[in-house]
Amino acid sequence: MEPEQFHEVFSSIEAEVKKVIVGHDDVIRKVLIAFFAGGHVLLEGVPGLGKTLLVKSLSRALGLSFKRVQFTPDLMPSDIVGTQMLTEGDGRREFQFRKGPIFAQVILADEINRATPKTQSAVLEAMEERQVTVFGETYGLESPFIVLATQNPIELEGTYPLPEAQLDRFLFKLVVSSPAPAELKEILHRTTGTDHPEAGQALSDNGATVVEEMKSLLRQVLIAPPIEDYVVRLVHATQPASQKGENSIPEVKNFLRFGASPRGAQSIILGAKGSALVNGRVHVSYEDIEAVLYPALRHRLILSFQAEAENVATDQILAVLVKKVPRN
Amino acid sequence: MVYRKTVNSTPKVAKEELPERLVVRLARRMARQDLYDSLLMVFPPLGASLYLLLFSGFASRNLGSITLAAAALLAAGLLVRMGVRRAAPPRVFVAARLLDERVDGKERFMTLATLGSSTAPFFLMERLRQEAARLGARVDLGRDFPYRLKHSFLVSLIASLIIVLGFRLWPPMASRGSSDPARVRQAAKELSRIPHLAEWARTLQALADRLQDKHLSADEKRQLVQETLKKIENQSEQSRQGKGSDALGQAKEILQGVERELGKSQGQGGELKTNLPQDGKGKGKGSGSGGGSGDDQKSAALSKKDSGEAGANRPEQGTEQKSGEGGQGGEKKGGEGGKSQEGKKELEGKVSKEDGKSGGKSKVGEEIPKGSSPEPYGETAGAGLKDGRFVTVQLPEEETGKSTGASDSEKRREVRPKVPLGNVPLGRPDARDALPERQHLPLEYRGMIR
Repeated sequence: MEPEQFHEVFSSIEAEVKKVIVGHDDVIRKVLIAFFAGGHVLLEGVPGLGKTLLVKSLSRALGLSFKRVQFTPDLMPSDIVGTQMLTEGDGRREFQFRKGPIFAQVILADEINRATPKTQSAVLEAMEERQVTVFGETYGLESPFIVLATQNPIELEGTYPLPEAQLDRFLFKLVVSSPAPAELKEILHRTTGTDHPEAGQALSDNGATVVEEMKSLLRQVLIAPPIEDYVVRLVHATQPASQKGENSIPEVKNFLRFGASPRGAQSIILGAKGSALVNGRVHVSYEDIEAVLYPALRHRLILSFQAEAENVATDQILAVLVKKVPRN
Repeated sequence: MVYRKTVNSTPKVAKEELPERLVVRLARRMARQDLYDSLLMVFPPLGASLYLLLFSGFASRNLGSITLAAAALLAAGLLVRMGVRRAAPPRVFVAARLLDERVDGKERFMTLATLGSSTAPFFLMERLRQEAARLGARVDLGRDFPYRLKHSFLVSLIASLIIVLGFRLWPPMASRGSSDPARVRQAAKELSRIPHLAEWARTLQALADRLQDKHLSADEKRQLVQETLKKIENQSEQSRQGKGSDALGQAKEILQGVERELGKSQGQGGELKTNLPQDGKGKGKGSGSGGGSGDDQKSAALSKKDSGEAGANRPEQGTEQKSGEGGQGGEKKGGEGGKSQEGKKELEGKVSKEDGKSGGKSKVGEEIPKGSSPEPYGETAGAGLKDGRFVTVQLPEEETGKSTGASDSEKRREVRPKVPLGNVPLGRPDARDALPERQHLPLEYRGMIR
């Protein structure tokens, strides 16, 4: 696939989603980048901002199978991955595996933090290994595969915050913010009238093949060694233990308990490659790195007690890092 | 015709150059500019150093050390520059970054310059190369990366100029440039050009030789200079309108300068440390200064060996000594008096009978008995004592004042020696032109010997 083709397909998918979703351009773009980079996305935002609609529109535009799972405290792992069911046919009874919703290509895990850790962890293997194991039998998942999980940041009572290990498996964490007044007006126009715009399918029937080609091209995007070094410096700088000597960053030392893992660096590079292609380039620039730094690292930094007491967000610490870590 | 020519000569389409080659060209250009920077940064201080070395070095006729020092400076400059260049990032990378900044290449040139084409997909590299080449066509290295004088050069130049000008304009520094004998020799050379002053030239030459004699103390050198200065002053007064009066005037100035220098170096270490009461009337009270009154001068010269260096290391003692009314005035006045008297004494080769009346008057503790001058010491005392460089006089036992209720400082003020004393320097008996010296008789022996 040529870079121009990638750009064209990407733009058409984006345009289809934008037919339904007003605003959130950056969120839409980052979700698509994560999708083509082969990652999963955690969407955070208060209810009613169109998170579910965004995911639905995306799956429709991509022409991929879509399943939604509403996470609740009584949701069981088998409700997600599927279970063996006793079936009767031809006069004999046998156990047959009944696939759960995880076997779709686009999964919406709505309010993922409401389910118990046991159920949450059931999604872990699927997200990372692209397979599920039920009663000792392993079943592969279809490709492409993406989990788009949402969580509500304000209703924390009766929730089970995602463990760090699970958070680390999301390529990006995107914050869905409230729409601007003009956007809100447009939303009202689109949703309170008689016409309900719907996203069309941007990819043809062989959409999965095209997506695979796009994913392959994304990984080939060129990245200069000095830019890789910059990413390494950025990720290393998030480690509080690395903050020694004259060039230490006090914000990291005081407000972070743990820094980003190597998976964080991988996310930055993959995201930057996607960003470069979307911007019509075949090589990564510093701009791309800084564009994906926040969604790639914000959920991987574990804040200290002091940071929580002082209401310091990880984005603030990342902004300091961008300022203080030299490019060359 | 001209019009047709203009129309015919259509501007050539800028041929797109391989971006990697453009980066290498810029890197080479930067290397050249770096070299210019290095040279421009090193040359002003080098020039200034050479100038200063030549200025002082020719005077001391030490061309070997000049060459060595200049070579060392040059080598040091180059080494520093090489160190700076090694610490800098690889030049190709820097050049690529500059090109990216110039044409908003978004790291296209940097990616091409740093990414090995063997590992990257060919079609993407080709595409990147084309994009970079299109951007590179906009770059004219001469126009976009001209050589500009660096701030470091200006700083280096200004600092060097300041040093050279300071050396030239600030008299103490300028005079430090050439040594005393060299200046005197220079004056002798000037005088030797005027036939009727040839004798004076020889005198000055001899003086320069004496000034180089390491066996002579600064005091002795100063006396020699004063002696010659006096003679020149007399001569210049006689031939005020005559030929060579200018040259003599110059020689006089030089000698005055040398004399001042010697006086200064003498004054730096010349402190007399005594526990004698200092109750002079404000004149000549600072007996420790380089140029004291007649009597003070003698005692200061003798005590210089014993306490002079120590005095130099402890300058606060000098200030303590000076505290009191008119201390400085006394010092100054005493200096003038001492100067003239000592020169005279040395010239005539006999002990001055004056007791420093023209200079600062010094009343040391008890009154020094007036009357006939002391007998020549050397002749009566025999050769053994005359051979000694100094006569060290054991201070007689002091009688302290009544200490009832008096503070320490008051007690110190009340200390009185039982008998007056005096320490006198003796000339070197083995000196080439040693004049028959007559030494002061230490006061405490006067009665006994007489």
